[in-house]
This record gives sequence, C-alpha cells and structure tokens, in this order.
Amino acid sequence: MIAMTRAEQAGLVRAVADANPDTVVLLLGSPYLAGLLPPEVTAVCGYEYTPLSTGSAVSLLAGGFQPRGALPVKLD
Amino acid sequence: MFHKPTLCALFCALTLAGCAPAPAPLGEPAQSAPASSAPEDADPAPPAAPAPAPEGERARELLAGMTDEEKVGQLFLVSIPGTGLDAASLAFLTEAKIGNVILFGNNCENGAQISALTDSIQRAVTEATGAPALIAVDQEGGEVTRVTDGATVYPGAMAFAASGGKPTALDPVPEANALRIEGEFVGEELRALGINCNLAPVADVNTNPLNPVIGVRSYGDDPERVAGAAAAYALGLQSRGVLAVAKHYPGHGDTSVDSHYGLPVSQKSLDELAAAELVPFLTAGKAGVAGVMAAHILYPRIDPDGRPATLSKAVLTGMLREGEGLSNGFEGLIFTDSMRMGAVTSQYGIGNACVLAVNAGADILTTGTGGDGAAGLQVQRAAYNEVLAAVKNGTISRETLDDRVGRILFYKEKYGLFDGGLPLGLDHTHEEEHARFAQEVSDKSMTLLRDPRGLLPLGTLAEERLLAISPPLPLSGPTPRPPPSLPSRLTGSPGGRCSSTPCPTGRRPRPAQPRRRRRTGS
Repeated sequence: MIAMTRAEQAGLVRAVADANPDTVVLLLGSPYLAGLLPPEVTAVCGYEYTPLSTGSAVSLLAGGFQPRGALPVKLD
Repeated sequence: MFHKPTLCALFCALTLAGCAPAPAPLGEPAQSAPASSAPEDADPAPPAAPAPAPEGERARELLAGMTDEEKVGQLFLVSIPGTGLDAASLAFLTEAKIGNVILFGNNCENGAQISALTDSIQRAVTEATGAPALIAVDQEGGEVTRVTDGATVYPGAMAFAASGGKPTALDPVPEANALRIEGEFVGEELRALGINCNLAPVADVNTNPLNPVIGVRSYGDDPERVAGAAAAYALGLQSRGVLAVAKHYPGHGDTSVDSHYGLPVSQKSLDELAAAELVPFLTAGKAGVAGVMAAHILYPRIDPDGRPATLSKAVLTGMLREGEGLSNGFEGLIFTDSMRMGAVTSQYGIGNACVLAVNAGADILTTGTGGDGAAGLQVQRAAYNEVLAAVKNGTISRETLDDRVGRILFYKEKYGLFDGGLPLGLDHTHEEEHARFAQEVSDKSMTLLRDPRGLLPLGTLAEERLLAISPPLPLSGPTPRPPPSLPSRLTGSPGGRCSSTPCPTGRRPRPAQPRRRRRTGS
C-alpha cells in the first residue's frame, strides 16, 4: 500500500509496483494523479491528506465498507 | 444531540440524495440569531424571521456620522500576529479604526482561545468604530481548514462532491443536501467561536488538471454542479448567521500558476467564462450569497488595461457588479483576495493596489496573510494610510467611499452583527454528531478507480505482509479516530516523517461487521 499526494512521488510508486504488482495506491490528493499510475495497480481516490481521509482509507482497505464515491472530474 | 427521527432523516437524505429535492434557496440570513438558540436538529428551515425593521437604517445612520478615517478602516480585512490581541495589534486596530479581521491558522489554537480572541477583537473594534467587526476565516474544509481544534474538520469540496455519487439528469448535484447540512454545522460552530464570515465556498470550476492551487478545493469540473454545490453550502452557512464568500472570481480553476507566487493569465473571453467559470458565481448572486472574493488573475481579453481581476474595473464593476453581458449582477460584498500575495505585490505596491481595487469596485480589501508577524501590522498600516490619503486627495471619491462602506455596514446590519457580534460562548452539544457526519461523508467519498487484481479488502492477502508507505501528514488537528474494526497495527498516527510500516496482514477481517450501524439511522 502506498499513499500518493503529489506528482513527484510517481517514480516511487512505479518502483514499488515493479517490485510487487500487488500494490494498492491511495491517491490522497488530486485525482488527476491517476494518470501517472502504472495500469496494473489498484487505485483508490481519497482526495485529501487529512486525518479524516486517512481514517476512511484505512477502513476501506480493511473491508470496513464498500467504496461508494464517484469521481467529480473527468480523467482522460 | 439529534432527535432520532431527524437523525434518521439526515442519513436518509444522505443515502437517498438522488430522491431528495435540492435545498430551497435562502437569500436571507438568520438575522441576529444567536448560535446558542440555533435549532437543535438538522432541519434546513431558516430560523424565524425577526420583527421587520427598516433594513439598513442603522447602517445609514452610522455611515452619516463617520469620519474619513473610520470609513477607510471599514474597507480593511486585516490579520494580526499571535493568538491573543497584543498591545501592537490593539493599537493598530483602534488607531486606524480597522473594521474587520481575518484569522489564520497561526491565530487559532483551540476553541477557548479563539473565543477569547474574537471577544477581544469584537470589543476593541466596536468601541473604536461604533460598528461590529467582520471576523473572517478560511474554513473551506479538507486541507484548507484554519480552525482544527475547537470546530469539526469536514472533508474538502472535492471529497464532498465524490461522496454524493454519480449525478443524474434528475439529480445533477447529489451532494447538495449533505453540503447544506455541512454549511449549517460549520455556521453554528463558527458563530459559537465569534467568527461571522467564512471565506468559502470555493466556487472555482477545476477545468485545468494542472491547477496548482485549486484542485481538490473545487467541487469538480462541471459548472452547473459546482454552482449547485457551492450555493447549497453557502446558504447553509448563511442560515446560521455566517456570511459566505464565494471565491475566486471570475474563476481560478483554469490556471496553471498559483497567484500566491505569480500572476496567472487567462486568455478566455467573456462568452467562454460565462459558459463555465462564471456559472457558480452567477448562481451565487441569484441565491443571495453575501460575498464574492476576486482573484489576482489577468484576463487580457476583458481588461485591456492589463490589470488583474482584483484591480480591474471592467471585471469588478462591469462584469460582477453590473452583470454587463451576463444574466445578472451581484449585490453583495466584493472582497479582494489577499493584497499581500505575490501576484499583486510583484507589480503594484500594496497601498497602490488597494486604491486601485477600491476604484475598480472592491468593497473589502483583504490585507491579511497567514503567519503574519509584527512587521505585517506596519505593512497594513501603510496601506491604510495610502488609501486614506487617496480619499483626502480625491483619487478615491467620497461617493465611491460611501458606496463601499455603506454596503459593508448594510451587510453587518443585515447579518445581525450589531446585535449579536459578541461571541456566544462555546457550545459543544453538537460536537459528536458533527464529527460523525464528517466521518460519514469522508467514508462515502472514497472512490475506487480500479482493482484489476482483486486486492481489496487487504485482508484477503492472508499470510502476506503489508508495507505501508506514506508522507508525513501536513494538517495538524485531532488524532484520527481509529476505525473500530481495524487491527491495532494499522491504527498508528499517520503523523511524523515518511513512514513505512511492514506488518503481517494476517487473516481477513470479519466482513459485514456492524461497525457502521448508525448509518442506517434506525
């Protein structure tokens, strides 16, 4: 599991995904960061890096609830 | 606490937002409604209207008796250093007859301290000027939240929008009900702290993926949806007596430069802006949102003089106030974004920029900035002196000054500040419900983009080990509540340096645990 908040972290995310394809990326920033991700990783948008969003993200990873959000921006 | 049926209605409204009607527009604020008597449920109906009085009478009387010095002081929204009103700040406020104060993170430690600070400010300003102060804050939610201890921290705009799920033709703003409730909750909390103006919502349409400053502070890239979302939040705030200020006019969402550091330029025409960026602001104007904050962005196709929106008569008076070429004008208060930002300071002196802004059509000059020190008081005082000199020498006409100050005083009266400007005391009654609501929305915002290898939930990786890598958490505030169903090894504080935590994932957590029973509301 790797949390990504800025575009500068894309290289690290790619390196982690290369080492282990079973990688979950939490995008705790702009959803447009998704464009920088390797296609094989699991990707979740949490939109911000705050105590609230990290709490929700961890609950989601642990199966506490099903993801229900929808992207409010178009990703191309 | 909520009454049970109301709690049920609240969560049903969130869950079934697709079937719920959009909140009724509410142009009138809760006049002088003290937070202590705010409705104890989430009923979005406005408090009962006070006895009708000739609106604006006190404001007109006050204006008529004001000196130039006092009038110029009303134009300013200043910052002060520290968490209390020190002697230098007090002297600045009272000697320059400053009318309004903005609080930043460095002014806000906790609820009791903020209450004491706003109380000191309100007493000093009211005594020195005869009018109550606007006390403002950027409480957008998410990463732009100044009060993190003493008020509930809510998710930011984009998370709220995501929590509504997919919009449909019948329900284009599925998060509107939740935003209305958020606005009411934030309004109650701010008023309880003595803060009566929130520089939110962000009404920018985030049309540029590379935008460095708006991004997740926006409700998204659909103008109509942003309009509905921003209006719902603003009217929630205003129903609790807190002025909402939609920002950043005419739209900071299509820029790739942060106006804190440079001057963004947009080549859009009026027609192009009217089709996207302006939609939320036109809606805000029709809905009766109290304020609009202008941005330091250059629109060469609208202002041939090459002035940023904050200093541009074509933008502030032509487009915004008079609605030239648009469906409607704006009657409320026009705020500038901070005149201390790089976009303005790099090309204009602060004082000169303030004079240009007033003549362009701005009512309130924001000269405050975050983390301001004692030197900031001198900078702001110099700006005040320049504006005062411009009034004395006729660069700013008295007609213009009276127009701006008259509007400011009118809104102070309209929002009941003359009667309820003093802090109303902390009210922790709703704390738990508000925090639960915030967490509920945050949970609902989590958006799965893809899971091609079926990794979620992580517990399926029995016998495997988990490496968690994350940057340090930038936002200070209360430690996140550990999700109840989680193994303790995943609940450490995300603060500190970049952390990587290898740990066995163990067995899959028992699914379908009733940890979120409250969500059903029954």
